[in-house]
Amino acid sequence: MKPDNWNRLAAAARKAPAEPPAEMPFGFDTSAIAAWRARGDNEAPSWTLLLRGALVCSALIMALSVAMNYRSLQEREPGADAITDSAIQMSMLP
Amino acid sequence: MQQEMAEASLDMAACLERVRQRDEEAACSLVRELYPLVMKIVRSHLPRRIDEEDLAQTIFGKMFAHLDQYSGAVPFEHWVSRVAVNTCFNALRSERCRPELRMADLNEEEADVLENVISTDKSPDPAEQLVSRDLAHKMLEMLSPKDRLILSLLDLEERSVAEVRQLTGWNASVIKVRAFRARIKLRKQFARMMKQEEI
Repeated sequence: MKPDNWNRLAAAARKAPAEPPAEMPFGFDTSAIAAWRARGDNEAPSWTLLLRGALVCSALIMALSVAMNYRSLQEREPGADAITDSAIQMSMLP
Repeated sequence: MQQEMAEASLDMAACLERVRQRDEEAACSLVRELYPLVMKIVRSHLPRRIDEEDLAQTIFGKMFAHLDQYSGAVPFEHWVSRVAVNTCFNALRSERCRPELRMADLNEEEADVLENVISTDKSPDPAEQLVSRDLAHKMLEMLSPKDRLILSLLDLEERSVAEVRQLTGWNASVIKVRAFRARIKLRKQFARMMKQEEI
């Protein structure tokens, strides 16, 4: 059986001494916390929540009004535009 | 030493509770406690051209942002490891270029070590082991991010499929199949490199 080169290389790599534990650079924790704080301060401002609520409400009202007027929308008589179009077409006929 | 002792005795549950109450001192302690773990993962899976400190900052940012999602079902360190591995994976995915490695790209030392490692059974000396580790990472860079992460965890860190599944959230059979195919790809790559050398 052919020797598996990847297995050999991986086995040699595994024997390499472990790297010393990383030391945290000065100020790393402070900048991580600052980023966290900044994110917290920007988290869901009140106007965003208000806008979201208004959007949901308006979508609901639209859906309700369409549902309530569905039958009348389906059964309505042809509009003035359609009548005008048809009159023009008839007048143009030979 | 005193600081090490203090960190060793950090009460994780109490600390997390304080962090949830937005206690910055507790958050600092948490970052200090988890920094070595996060950096170990970052260094194992660091994409080229990305600064390790930047990636670590991103990981801590995600950790704080999603802290509410931590249910306590697993130790917090495991949860953070998963966040770190997934962040590294996303960073690897954003790397579009996966250069092919050729014998001509290796320096003299690397070429010698590769030759020794694959042609002899003698145990490599510490210097050769370090070069082998760099070479193994270079070989892995040619694979897709998913394959690279899987083989790195399985073959270099000697983790089990169950551990990889826990860290990545991927299906065990997907991990096995991908590892199998990735090793075939690497064998083919080795064959190509050896052929190039003969020419």
